[in-house]
Amino acid sequence: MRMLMTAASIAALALGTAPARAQQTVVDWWGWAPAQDIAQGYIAKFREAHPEIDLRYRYISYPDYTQALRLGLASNAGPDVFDLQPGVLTSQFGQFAADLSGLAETTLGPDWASDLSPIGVQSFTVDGALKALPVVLGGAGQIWYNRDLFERVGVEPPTTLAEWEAACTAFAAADVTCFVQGAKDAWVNTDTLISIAQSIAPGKVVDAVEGRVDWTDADLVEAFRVWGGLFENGIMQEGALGVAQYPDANNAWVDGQAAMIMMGTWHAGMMSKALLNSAQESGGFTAADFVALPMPFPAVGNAGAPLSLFGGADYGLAVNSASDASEAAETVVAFFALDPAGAGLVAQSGFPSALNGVPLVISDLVDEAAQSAALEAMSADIAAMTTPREIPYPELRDTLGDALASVAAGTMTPEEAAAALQGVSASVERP
Amino acid sequence: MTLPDTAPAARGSRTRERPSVATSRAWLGRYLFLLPATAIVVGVVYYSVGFTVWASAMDWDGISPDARFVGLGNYARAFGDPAFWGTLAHTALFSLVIPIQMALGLAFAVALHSRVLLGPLYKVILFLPVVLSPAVMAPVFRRIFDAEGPLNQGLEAVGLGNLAHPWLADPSTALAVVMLVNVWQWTGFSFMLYHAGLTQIDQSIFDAARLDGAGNLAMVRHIVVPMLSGTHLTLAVLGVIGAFKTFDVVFLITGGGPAGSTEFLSTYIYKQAIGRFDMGYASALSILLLVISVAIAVLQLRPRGGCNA
Repeated sequence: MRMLMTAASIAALALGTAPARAQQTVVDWWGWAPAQDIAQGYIAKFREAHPEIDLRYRYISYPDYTQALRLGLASNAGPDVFDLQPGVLTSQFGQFAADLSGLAETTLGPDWASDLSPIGVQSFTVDGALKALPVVLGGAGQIWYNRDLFERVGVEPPTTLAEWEAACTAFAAADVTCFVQGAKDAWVNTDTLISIAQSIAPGKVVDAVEGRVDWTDADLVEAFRVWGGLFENGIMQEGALGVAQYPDANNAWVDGQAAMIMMGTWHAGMMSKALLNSAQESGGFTAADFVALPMPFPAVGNAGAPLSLFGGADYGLAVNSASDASEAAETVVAFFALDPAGAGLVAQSGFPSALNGVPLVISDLVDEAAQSAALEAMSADIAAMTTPREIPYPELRDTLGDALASVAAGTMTPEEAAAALQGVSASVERP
Repeated sequence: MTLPDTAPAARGSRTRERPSVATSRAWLGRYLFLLPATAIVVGVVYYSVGFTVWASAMDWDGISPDARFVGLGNYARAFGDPAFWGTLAHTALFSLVIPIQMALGLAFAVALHSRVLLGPLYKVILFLPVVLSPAVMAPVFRRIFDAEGPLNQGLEAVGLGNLAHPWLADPSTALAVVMLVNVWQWTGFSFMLYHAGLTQIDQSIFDAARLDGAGNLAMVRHIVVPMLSGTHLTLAVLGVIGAFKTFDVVFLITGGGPAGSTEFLSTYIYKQAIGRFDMGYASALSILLLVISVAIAVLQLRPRGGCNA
């Protein structure tokens, strides 16, 4: 355990008097979320509640996080607390995480699981051990739209693929980008494919991920066909495959150039005038405020019903099993995941908490009435999520990303993409 | 061939000499000076190569303490992996930039070898891309070649809108864009080496050629090009090895896409090791990259007699 002696306490000891301040335990926390500026607020509040712990946060951007964590955990220079995401990160780094079910039980009682999001807990449970406590929930399967642009062009948010195409024709006629996606990034393409597949045959894509259904199933091949069609029917913007979701596509959207973007619940902060302006300023834009609203991914199958959100924990906090400050590290995790004060702090910054009963709060809405109602509906949808978003098998996840890009580029047919995935899926070792 | 009469005696006398204590100390001193560098090279480079060889024989995620021995399985997998062969094909195509960069570098070096107004400024402009970080220039190029970017806007503005194209989003043009960026970035390096080489050529050779009535093109062809053969070789070797090691520009501009059309061996290795947690396979690919690079360097150096190049 690293003990930090403050200058004051050292001086006090030297003078033979009692230390002016109690010794603090240093806890190092690594993560890609929250962002650095938000983390500062979290840490200030945490220190007020737990002055005996000196919490230090190291923000690492998501693309660099895996490698940083790999090196940190493999050596003894790693963090005491670290972010985990369901899927590949949990399956790979879960081996370094302590089982936190005891902490949850101690803090919330024997019925602790009922106080947390079920899918959040499920997504971090590996072989019966709770590898992280979910902090923020995240769901995909929705599209964010700029209501001002829709009103200007006179278009209603589309609920079906046909309406989506018609809307994009109208936007094109008004010289407005209809929909923007950074299709260079596999993760957002995968979100889109899952949305399409869930609309065509709910549950089948999850079964395929788990090897219960072949990827060559007709419904999944159809999902690939619809996906490829988005690049031909005027929905996907030209050159989408060369564009990253962050910052390129997101910039186009916050700048008010595009009417729709494929984003999940984590985008809810854009409802806030302050956060929208902040995003615009960081991109160097001077666009006017607009009303950002979520809508379900348009129905593309025969079911016709609006798509439910899919997802789970956006991130959770794990305790390094090799930490020499494990008790203090657990205090940190408990504060943000199990304590209404800490969880409320998270929710007040615009991220849905995984602790039940903590309302999502976004202040400074551009349109109080419309966006409050949308937030309320979204919170209910998040709580009802049952379909996971993350694919826990790295080779399958990456092959899916490659296959989607190939279908979009026209270098693979939907059938070939499905066959390639099935080939990899058959060799995946599942628990 | 016969050796001079004095040679055996000289060699013999040298072998019969007993080294003095001072000579031994000097000898020891020389090797002690080499020790730190040797320790660093062996400890860092050769240990890393050895470790990678070991990892290449394992089925290992790179973080777990458990690794399963698979022998040459990862190598066999590479030879059967179409993506691996695709990366080699992309590298071969990409290598076409080497003669282009060399030709441009030589042309600029020749042009700026003579007294040119604002010559130093041109040299700085030419060399600037070499020192610019790819992280700085990548977003700029992504923007330039975007479907809605300035290149297409410019084409439309001059009535060539039919040539506008999503350059980075089309698998048939993305690699060409990466090659273009590489030419932009590294032509200055070729220029600098050629310029340095030109300063080493005796001016009297040019004067004599001029007296014999040689024109500028003839002097370039018959004096400059042959006398800079060492520079050509250096640039060719560095270019090919650089092509195999190409990573940053590709990773930052296209990420290997779209649809793997700009995937290089280095980016593929990174994805296997970091994204897919397949350190064993990534290590095997790394060893193959090392073998290919060394083999090509040896082949390129052989006609000139190896190290003297």
